[in-house]
Amino acid sequence: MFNGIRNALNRTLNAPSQESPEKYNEIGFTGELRKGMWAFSDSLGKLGIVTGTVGKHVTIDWVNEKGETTLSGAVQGGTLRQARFSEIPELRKPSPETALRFGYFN
Amino acid sequence: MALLVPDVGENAILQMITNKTAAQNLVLHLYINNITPAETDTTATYTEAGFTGYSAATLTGATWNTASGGSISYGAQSAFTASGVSTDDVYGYYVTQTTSTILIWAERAASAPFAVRVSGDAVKMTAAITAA
Repeated sequence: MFNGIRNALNRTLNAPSQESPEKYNEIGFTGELRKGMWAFSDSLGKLGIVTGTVGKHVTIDWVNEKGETTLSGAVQGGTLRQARFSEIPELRKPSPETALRFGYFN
Repeated sequence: MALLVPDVGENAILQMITNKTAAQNLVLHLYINNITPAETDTTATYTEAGFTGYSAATLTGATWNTASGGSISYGAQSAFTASGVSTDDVYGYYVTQTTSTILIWAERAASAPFAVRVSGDAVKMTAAITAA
């Protein structure tokens, strides 16, 4: 939960204003996927929300373009990446402050 | 499915434990949109149930049991009982602060959805949270 004060300060200094969402970093952070994060499987072409881990597998709820849950599943952890900002459904796009927390700002 | 404390909830909790902001009673709501809680959610992400007889439940501070073993539970069961015909499908619940309305945590029911259709249909739960 905590990344440390220095990290938080660095991120704050780099935060764009609320009026400049075009400065979102498409890629997001490159750390370990964890529960509640938006993830994408390039091999399956599917977007989902991580719900946990079982051994070396990540459990995930796949979603449709509206962000609604369609199916629960599990995949090998290495086959997922954090979803790009543009891949998150419009209805569930994070606020600028939350987007910052997940690395969506440069 | 275990509950999820989203980013906005984590921030609210941090501010409460440092006395930056005062604690508030929590409010337990049922949601009817087919979603899985995500870190990026806010209260606005959730569509609250609206069946006849439904009312969100305030979880008053004094009713929580004493925390033990890294867990705290509410001292009473919350029951949401329909008193008429409904088309609501309940997918889970979410908990907000009563005044700020900030989303603190949410959980999708493992066996979602619960179909609330006729008078007497009820969703019953006892709120609890465990620190991992």
